[in-house]
Amino acid sequence: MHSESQQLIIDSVGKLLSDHVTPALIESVEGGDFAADLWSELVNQGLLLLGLDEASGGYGGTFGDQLALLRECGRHAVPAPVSQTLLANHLRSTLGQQGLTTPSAVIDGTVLSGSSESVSGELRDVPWGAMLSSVLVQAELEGASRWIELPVSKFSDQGTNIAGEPTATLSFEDAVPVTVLGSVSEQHLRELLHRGAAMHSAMMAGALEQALQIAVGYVLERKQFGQPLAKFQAIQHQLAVMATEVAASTRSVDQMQMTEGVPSDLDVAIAKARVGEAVGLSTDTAHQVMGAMGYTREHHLNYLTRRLWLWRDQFGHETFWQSEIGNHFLSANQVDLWTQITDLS
Amino acid sequence: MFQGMNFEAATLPQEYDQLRQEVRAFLATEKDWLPNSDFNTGASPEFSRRLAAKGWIGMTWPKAYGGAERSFLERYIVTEELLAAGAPVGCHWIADRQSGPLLLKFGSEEQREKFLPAIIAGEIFFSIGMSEPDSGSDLASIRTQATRVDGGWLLNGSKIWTSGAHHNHYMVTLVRTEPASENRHAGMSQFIVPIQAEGVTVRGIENLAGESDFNQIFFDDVFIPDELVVGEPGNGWAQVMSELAYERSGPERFLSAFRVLLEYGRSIKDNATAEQTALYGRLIAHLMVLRRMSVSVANLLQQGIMPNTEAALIKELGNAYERLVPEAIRMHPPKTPTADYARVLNECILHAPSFTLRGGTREILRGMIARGLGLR
Repeated sequence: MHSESQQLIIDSVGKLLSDHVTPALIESVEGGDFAADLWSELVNQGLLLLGLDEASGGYGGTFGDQLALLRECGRHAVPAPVSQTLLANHLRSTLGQQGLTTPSAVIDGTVLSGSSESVSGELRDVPWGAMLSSVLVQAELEGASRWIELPVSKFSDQGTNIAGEPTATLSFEDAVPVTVLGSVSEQHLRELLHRGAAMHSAMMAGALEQALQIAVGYVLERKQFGQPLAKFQAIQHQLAVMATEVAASTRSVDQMQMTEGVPSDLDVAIAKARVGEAVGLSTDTAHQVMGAMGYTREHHLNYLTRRLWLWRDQFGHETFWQSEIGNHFLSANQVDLWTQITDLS
Repeated sequence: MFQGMNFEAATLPQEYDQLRQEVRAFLATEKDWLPNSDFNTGASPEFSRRLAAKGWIGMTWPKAYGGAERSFLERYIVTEELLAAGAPVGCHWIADRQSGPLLLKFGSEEQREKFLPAIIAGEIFFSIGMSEPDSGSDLASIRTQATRVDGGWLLNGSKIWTSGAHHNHYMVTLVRTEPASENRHAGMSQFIVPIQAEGVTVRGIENLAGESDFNQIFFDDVFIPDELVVGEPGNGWAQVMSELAYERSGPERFLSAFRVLLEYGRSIKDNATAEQTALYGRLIAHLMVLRRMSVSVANLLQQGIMPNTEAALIKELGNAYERLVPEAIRMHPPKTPTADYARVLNECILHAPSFTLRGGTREILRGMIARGLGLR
């Protein structure tokens, strides 16, 4: 089903995450701690440099390998900025820099200003904010648009997002960039958006697959009216419909994982739009069949569903990507829809 | 414990592009029919014969019977091109998809030699006889029965919702050859019933859209010789179940609304609103994913695997999509509709109730998916 390297990652990462990611760990991270032991394990296994070539300090691997890793992270609701750090390393590598294994993230949307010796500004509600060692951000330096890497030191307004992951506002006052990485191009922004969307689609697919497993397992055990819930047609049919949505998500992400190199922009758009759309019905169904039990904090279903509700909005929600797809197909000159579809395989 | 579905990612090999172009070139010369989106709408014996002349009926079957031994993926390309073009495939559709493969698997050598070359030539067409007036989703409750007579069986009873029986030649019919027993699935057999045989009456039933496609068939002491029994008498249920992956996973399960989407795109091309663009993109995203899932199943079929749960899942998801397309589009109507837009939209809405009934109801399919999940 997956390439050999992806299967190796799935097996080894699955084991690592099963051992380390416990409800207690997730709760402690949502309470403001950093998952230091888990992070060390990820570093030790070289996973944060996955997909980087040797010139950038990595050990090789493909973008598909990264997606396989992130799908497992989604399945286990990993409470750490793995996708963020991988994306930051991709940008570093694009700009000829070495990858880093410290937690970091690319922050898009705000442009700081200053000089190569001194940068000031504020980044609001940054996911994982206080737990990041550094951020990669755009800055106007002496009239030129540059990527810079800034150390994180001052933060405020610590809070959490819908997934319970920590956020913070980061402030920089005459901060000295660790590195001025290079010029910002449209191509970088486009690549970051698409890679981020692909990564979050993979994470959602893993979480959806796991949510279905949990719901199925629960209704086989839980008895009402003298028999397991699984015996009731009302329950069977709800889960059957959820399974169709999960299967569509799986297939969308498999398409990206099987691609040599980086998946096309269109395949990423299809995945993010389709998987994002599957989240509403799937989380509704999983919670419905598990009753109030699944609505309790201590039941681990919520670690998945709260993250699904976050990830579907990050790197473009469904309408954003549907519009991209619509524009792509409407802009083709004189080529009929069917030809466009079959040309894509 | 449920281990997930098998939609192993597969793609249509590029070497088949030439075949696709050949089908398109053929369809470009075909002008004497109005494109419809629903495979069940148009039937033309002349079209089916012209298609047969190209070698595109029974194309995966052995050369010994006149087939071309091409792959399931090549057949997939031909069928999806026909459906996307709205071609009138109704005459040969069942024979090509189901009856031929059934005979290849369970039929006698004599049956194969008699029927397969004629199907491939586009000369004989098949219907399916499963539902009865009192037996729909509960197929095991059928009462049409055959009693043993010298050299064959005497058939009595009735089948209903039989598409195309008024223009087809044979119907593969599920009948009771033993009285119902505790094992509900035992004692059934499949007969090849010649629709022109003495004692067979075909009565058309007009559908909601005012069209005459399906029928009720009456059997009154119809003699069926032993040579027309498919497989082992009593093995009918297992044989019927073996057809399901063919019946449920193909592009006809999600392309029934394709012409609506096509005409919509043509209509909004120059003046799409933001909502229309997003809707168009949403519907294309669903279609692309369904098509990939369906190709995955075709690839499993090619490997000799019978993915019944996955096929049921594609039909359930595909039918829901076919329903969604007209329902979503009608609320964002184009400012400049093409000449065909309103016609195909209305046709689709009028046919939509049948999408989730034919080939296994929504309820049966959900039950099969639930079984695949380990819930039953």
